Amino acid sequence: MLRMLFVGKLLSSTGAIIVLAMSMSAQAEVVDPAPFLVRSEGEKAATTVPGDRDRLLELPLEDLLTLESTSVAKKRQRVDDSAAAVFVMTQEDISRSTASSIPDLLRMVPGVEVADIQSSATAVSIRGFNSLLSNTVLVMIDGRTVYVSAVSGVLWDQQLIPLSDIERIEVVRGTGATLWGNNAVNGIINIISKHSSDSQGGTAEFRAGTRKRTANLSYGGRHGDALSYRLYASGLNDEGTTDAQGHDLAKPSITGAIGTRVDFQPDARNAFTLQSDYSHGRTSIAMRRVSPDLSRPAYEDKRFDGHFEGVRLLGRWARTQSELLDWSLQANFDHGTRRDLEARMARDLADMSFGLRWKASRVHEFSLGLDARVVRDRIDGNPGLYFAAPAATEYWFSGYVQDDISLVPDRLRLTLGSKIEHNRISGVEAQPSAKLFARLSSKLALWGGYSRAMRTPSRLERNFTGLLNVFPGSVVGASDVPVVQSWTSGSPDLKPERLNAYEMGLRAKPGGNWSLDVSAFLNDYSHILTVVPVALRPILMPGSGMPMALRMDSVVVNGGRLRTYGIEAAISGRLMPYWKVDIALSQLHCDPDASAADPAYGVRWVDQTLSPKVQVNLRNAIDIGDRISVDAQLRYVGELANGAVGDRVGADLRLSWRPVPTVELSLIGENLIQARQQEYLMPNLLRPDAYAPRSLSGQVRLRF
Amino acid sequence: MRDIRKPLIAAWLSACMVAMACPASAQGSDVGRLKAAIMLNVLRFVTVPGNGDANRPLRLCVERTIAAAPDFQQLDGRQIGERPINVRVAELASGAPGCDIAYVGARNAAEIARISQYGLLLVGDDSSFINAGGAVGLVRFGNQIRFEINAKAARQAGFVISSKLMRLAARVQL
Repeated sequence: MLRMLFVGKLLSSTGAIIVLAMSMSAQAEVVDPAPFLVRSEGEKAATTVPGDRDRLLELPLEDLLTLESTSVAKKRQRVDDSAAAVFVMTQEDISRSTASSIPDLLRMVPGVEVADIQSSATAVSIRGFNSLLSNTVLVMIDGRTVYVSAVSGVLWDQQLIPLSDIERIEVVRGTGATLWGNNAVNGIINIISKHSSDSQGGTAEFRAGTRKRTANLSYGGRHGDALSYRLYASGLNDEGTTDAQGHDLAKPSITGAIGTRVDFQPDARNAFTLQSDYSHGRTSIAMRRVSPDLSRPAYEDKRFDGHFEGVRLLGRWARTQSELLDWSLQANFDHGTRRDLEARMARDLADMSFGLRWKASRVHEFSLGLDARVVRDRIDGNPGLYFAAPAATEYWFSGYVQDDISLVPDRLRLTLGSKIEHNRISGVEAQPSAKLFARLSSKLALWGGYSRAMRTPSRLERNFTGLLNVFPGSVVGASDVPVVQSWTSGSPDLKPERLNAYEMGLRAKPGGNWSLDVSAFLNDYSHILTVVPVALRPILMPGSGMPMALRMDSVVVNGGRLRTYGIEAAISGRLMPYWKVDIALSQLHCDPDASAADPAYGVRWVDQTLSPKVQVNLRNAIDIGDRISVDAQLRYVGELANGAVGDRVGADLRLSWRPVPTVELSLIGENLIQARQQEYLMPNLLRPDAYAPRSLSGQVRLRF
Repeated sequence: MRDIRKPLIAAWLSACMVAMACPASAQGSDVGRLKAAIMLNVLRFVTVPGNGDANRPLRLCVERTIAAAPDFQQLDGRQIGERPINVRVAELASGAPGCDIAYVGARNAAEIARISQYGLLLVGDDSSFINAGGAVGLVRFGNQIRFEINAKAARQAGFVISSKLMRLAARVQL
């Protein structure tokens, strides 16, 4: 009985992971910021393909503006022709949404789970495994990975790019299309900022409301036809979530960033990009912790104020060697510090990557990438949370090779490839994939494939000690007992978590501007990390020899196995010429792990019941003439944790009026249906329940 | 797992062998085609001052001396809503009578003033074009083409440019 309780309580260790996740800043590894929309395929000379000119004229303006004039004849691999479940959010989608942060934007994407946890902490995941860390999703901004390998997660509150500077966000569900990146197990979120020559002049955006205030300023200029730049600044004051009665849980988080992007294209073959940004923020979070004084065991409710600071630099050189060969080289450096829960963390990352595409023939197009990265971090914990070795330096090497084989031109395509990765933890690992795409007609396409992926255990998952629980006296004896928990790798050859993924999809254009995109998947995970308690011993009071606390030691093993499957659909079309509708549906099932009954199984890191089984999202974009627009979003999210968080219906509304084309005034309502809603829960985490409140705001957008 | 990996690798290696044997074809670059495609889209988002006849063809005149003129000619017969586009290639240096839209390439302020007239949307090249009074500038940056809008010039010509087009423009001058 006691052992079972310990096992359950051990889950609260995930709380410590969350805390420390906040310690990290972003990292990088990817060269190509736009893997889907601009892909070269130089098989057809412009003058020899009569239909090609027509195809260009059919492209929407947004796509034309990102096409390269030297490669007009290159066929873009459009989303319609990709052998993966891809959703593209355009700047139009972004500017019409009510969102003021990237996670909020992602609520519109089928198969993506977004939940406010508390204050600036948000859980985002794809196809299950939802947690603060988003630990199975690779997130990239302009080709720079913001996935933090040390804790396998993403720090959303540090991603402060102004939403108006984003060109588009591509979300790929499933692992097969994620050529790049370690740990991109369940999907990839690729955020691509506007080219600086696309945002000339000034843009200002101010928003003030009952819960949030934001200000974004952006200014772009150019020098001749070759050099352009953009400067931006963004600020956010967010009062965050509340308790069940509507009182603030913590102080507002105040965050801001300034940044630049410079693009230089001296000739048709070479393009250089230089980006830099500095971010700073004050955060606040309410937590319940164990008193560090072990002789007086108690929980303390406390508000922890923290802060972060980060500097990022990125340089990229993209060269078109010939119509058939192009490559790019990217280097970036990140430095970040963060203080949370009285622990201080510092981190440096340097990354260099190379990517190449070669159209070898009418049949084959090869892609190849190499990446090398070094991460040095130091985490000085507080008395209750610490690493045995506070500082660590880790080296990562990875690459991929892929061949796109056109079996029947424009009809049938086979894609074979593999990621290859080397690191100290797992040695060399190959992650192959095979995808088949078939276009049956201009209105119908099918795709399917198999891929294998892995997630390397983070440093935190391998070795950590924390004072995390107090066991009440009613359970263990006469008085309350604090418990220090620690875990270490159960064996020197702890393996990465593995995934065998099977996917298929259908894209149809039944006519009348309607489109349908359906995908289904079966994900079979093995080697899932579990934490198994192995020893329990007293900690004695110095001098007296009396026991005052317990220490529970655990090992981390690859004990778990999971199977998830589901289906997602995106339906898009116009009810009327002025009324666009987008519907996103997703359903997710998780088979119980049969081996979990084994006492040696331990406890899994992520609780699958924290992902909703059903999600429905309906977006309406209505134009009343050119000056007035109405955008309404309705969503349904199924229950979490077997009903501990009930299912919910939410509604967001934006009313916009443009008195002149360069000025837009909007009224925005978020979470309109209920005064507040709980979106997430950490059943074993010592943290008060948090509720996302209803909010109203007004916004002004200016172009000058 | 291993049983599936071997056939995959074998298939891939054989594909590579085939790749070496296949000759690759070359292709040329084409700025003009991209500009013409962008022009077609711009036309979709502007309201041309009507002369009572909503189905009257839209007359697009293109300066004869511009290299991209043949590309713009490909727009002939395309529909904008109910209106077909009629493309006429002509010498426009002294004016563009009878045209709704004129693509005149790179021009200075004096030339633009000479060609401008009510009911004519002037489209040209380079970032100086809208500064000099043109309504829509097609601007090359590196390998990409952007467009810029001089809202005042378009308004004076009697054209209404949609807010969506304004949002997509690289630069807007009021």
